[in-house]
Amino acid sequence: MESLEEKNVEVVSKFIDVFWNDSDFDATERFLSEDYQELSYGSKEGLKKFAKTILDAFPDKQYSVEEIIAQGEKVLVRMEVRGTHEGVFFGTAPTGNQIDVTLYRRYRVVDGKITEHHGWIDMVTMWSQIRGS
Amino acid sequence: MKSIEQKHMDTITAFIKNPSNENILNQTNQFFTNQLIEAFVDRTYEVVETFTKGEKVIARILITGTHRGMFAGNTATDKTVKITQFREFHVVDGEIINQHGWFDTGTLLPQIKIEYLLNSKQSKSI
Repeated sequence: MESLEEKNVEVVSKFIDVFWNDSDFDATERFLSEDYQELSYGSKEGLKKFAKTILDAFPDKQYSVEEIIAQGEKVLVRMEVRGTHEGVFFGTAPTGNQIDVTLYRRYRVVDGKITEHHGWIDMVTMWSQIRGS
Repeated sequence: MKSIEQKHMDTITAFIKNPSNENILNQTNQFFTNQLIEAFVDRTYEVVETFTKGEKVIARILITGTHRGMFAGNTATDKTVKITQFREFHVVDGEIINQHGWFDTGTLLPQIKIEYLLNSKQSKSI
């Protein structure tokens, strides 16, 4: 039988795949709870808006989970995002440069639904790769 | 009796709190690491939370420091900032076998960038 932690890892892994990799932004309705707390993008809508910004700027982007640890309700993920800068990103015209950036995301999962997200990313490395410097 | 997870947490919390380990805590593979350490001074380190799986422990560390030097093209603001570091440890029998750290800059830049400071609505992490 699966432990609570294993189930929570499964939920988060699926969400990352469907939402961040397949860009199914309506998946938020299935995966996120009604009282979802978004600690990095302001709201559920802010999360979707940011994901769209990333998709427009890096249409081939792919997120890979490098490490995932569940502890009670919390799931911590270390990921890499890779892609090609082919669209405007926060005012910066496409450069065609590749990005490969590390990020951490911490989710909280209750009864199979994601109830909270907080994310951290290395923007200095990302801008340096975009600018090719 | 303490669980293995609790013992691991005690080991890495003691390591992070020991001032003689600060040089190790300042090492990462990120290209800007030396610049960051020079730019933000009077640093203090606090373990905010830990995650444990077997012999692996990941700590979220909050560093408080003062911005006194150039960082990523941003001149000193003299502001007090909070820098998040994630540090991953491999712990065996109460001993740290290896470790690697990573600085979050997504929440750091909005604290020191002029354009972010002028428009706090943009002060979000990623």
